[in-house]
Amino acid sequence: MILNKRIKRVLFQNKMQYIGLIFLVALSISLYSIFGSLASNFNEATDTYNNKTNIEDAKFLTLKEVDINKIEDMFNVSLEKRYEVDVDFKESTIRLIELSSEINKPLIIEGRMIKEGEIALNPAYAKANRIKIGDVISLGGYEYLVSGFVSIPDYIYPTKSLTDLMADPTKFGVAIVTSKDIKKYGDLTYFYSIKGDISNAKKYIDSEYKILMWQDIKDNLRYTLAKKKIEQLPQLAVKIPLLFLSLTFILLFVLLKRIIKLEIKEIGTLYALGYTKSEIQRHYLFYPIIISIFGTILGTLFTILLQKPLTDYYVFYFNIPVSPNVKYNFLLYGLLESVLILSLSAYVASAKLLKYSPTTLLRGKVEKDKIPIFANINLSRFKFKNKRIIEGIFKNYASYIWYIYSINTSSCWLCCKGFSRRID
Amino acid sequence: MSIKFKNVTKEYKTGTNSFYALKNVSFKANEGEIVAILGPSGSGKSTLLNILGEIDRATDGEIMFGDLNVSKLSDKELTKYRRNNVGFVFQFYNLIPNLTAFENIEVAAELTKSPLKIEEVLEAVGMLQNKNKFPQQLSGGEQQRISIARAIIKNPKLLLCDEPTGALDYNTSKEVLELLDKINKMYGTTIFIVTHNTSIASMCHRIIKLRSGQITDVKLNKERISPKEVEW
Repeated sequence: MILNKRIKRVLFQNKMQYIGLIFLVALSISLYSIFGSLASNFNEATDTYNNKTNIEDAKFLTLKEVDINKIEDMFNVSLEKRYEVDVDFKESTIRLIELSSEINKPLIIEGRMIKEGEIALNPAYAKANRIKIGDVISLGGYEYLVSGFVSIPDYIYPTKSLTDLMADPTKFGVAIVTSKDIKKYGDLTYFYSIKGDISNAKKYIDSEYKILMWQDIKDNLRYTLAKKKIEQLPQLAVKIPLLFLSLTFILLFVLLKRIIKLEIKEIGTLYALGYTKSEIQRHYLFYPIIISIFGTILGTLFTILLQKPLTDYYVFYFNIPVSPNVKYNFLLYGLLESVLILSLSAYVASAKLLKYSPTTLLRGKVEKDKIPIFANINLSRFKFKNKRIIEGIFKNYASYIWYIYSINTSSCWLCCKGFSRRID
Repeated sequence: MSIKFKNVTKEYKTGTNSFYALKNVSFKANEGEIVAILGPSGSGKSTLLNILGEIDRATDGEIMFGDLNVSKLSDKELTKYRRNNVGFVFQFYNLIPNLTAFENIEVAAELTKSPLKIEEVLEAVGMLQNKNKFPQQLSGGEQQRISIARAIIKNPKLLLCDEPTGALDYNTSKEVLELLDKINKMYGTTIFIVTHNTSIASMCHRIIKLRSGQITDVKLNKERISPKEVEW
């Protein structure tokens, strides 16, 4: 259709508005694909991680020492005792955890596994306290060479106490050392980690050894908080981009409606020439398609650039090794979603005006003149300049209501964001 | 193509009130004629032209285009008919601003299976050298020439001109009238010209006068003059 030749000229004439729309679509599509890929990568990584680390089903503490071999023989479970000790480092605390061999096996994220005299820390703490691989640190009078950064499965989200909700990597970190090294310290505490058919074992352990503390993995916030946050990723992948797309929907609607209103005489002419409504509608549907395509190209670029840093950010807090792969199917879904939503916007913007008869459109005016809302308000006591301002506001009252709403919403959002950061 | 209107009425209803834009209008125009439709504002000239062009429907009456009764056609059939048989020229040209002169004509050309050659038509309207200019780069007269080229590119049987000289100065108006006359002779197109300017009627074969939606006079112009001789 020759008519489509004008699209690039119209886009160029209103380039700033269209660049803004393309940018919003790009942002929406990139956020969708980044969070979508992140969720998918985390899901895959979590399954692998749980298998590799053999994460516990529960941990417990008893009044009397447990006979591990006996319990393992009696019930279909694995049981392991693990020592821990808190030591001070500068202004912070490091919880040294004994390197386990069966349950809750640590996974090295960077560097290599520890040997005697070596330590591996959780990366968030190391970064917050500027500890690098190869550094030598002194803990409670013993020196350790930092061999790497580690993820400990029951400390994916490392909080100091079981009841803490927020991890503070500047104040608290976890690290693994060998059994020989941890036993150099006094005041060691220990927990038993159990995996397998735990319900029968639990009853027996309680009757024989008196359970003082029992915590199922599903109640361990250090694991479940991270799990929940990872589970929220797909929702995040939908909600935020949808917000941007909704905004683009409104902006494109306003922009196209304005353009179509300015072109109603030309549309009437096209009808008179013999064009059908669907042909003209199809022409206007090219705008959202072009915006979506350019938005997707830019969004793909954003995704490729941002996928790794965002994955690293999540890995930094949740300590699960995840590959920063971009899942390109999300970009395709994003493109389809954006074409669909923006086409709907263009359709809604054009449908009402295109339904008028050619004779009405050829008049160049489809709406009746409205009586200004201020017509009945007595403004005589105001100065000329102020009267014009008030009239201007009343004349465009819908826009002003929209401005007030937008400012109000963004202020609230900023305040809430700032407030929540302070709580953090 | 001959045109025949028989008791054509166009009624607008607003609530309980009704208003007749055209009432029992009957006339006949032969193929290849230039017909002037004269009358004061609100006399129903534009309504008549719109009904002729199938962009508006009559409330009552019969409209024959040759042997075809168009008043019985569906909206879809009317659009198809308009696509192939009718060309429009507007007072304010109504060109698409983001398309060049050539492209504006192309827009109409692509609607029909066998359009005329664009270059040929541009040559005929004396605008070949301006084919790559945008409407805003052209004068009023030049824009009207492009508008005429766009209307005739489909080689329509019927060309409808709504105040084609209404926005033009004397000299340019005469050039446009000469062009319409030339097209009438070249392609045998039946042309209807709606105008306030009674002098234009002197170059037409037939003159229809309207007042308050009714025909007051239909006459054949036996003393037809060339557009060059038209004075006002």
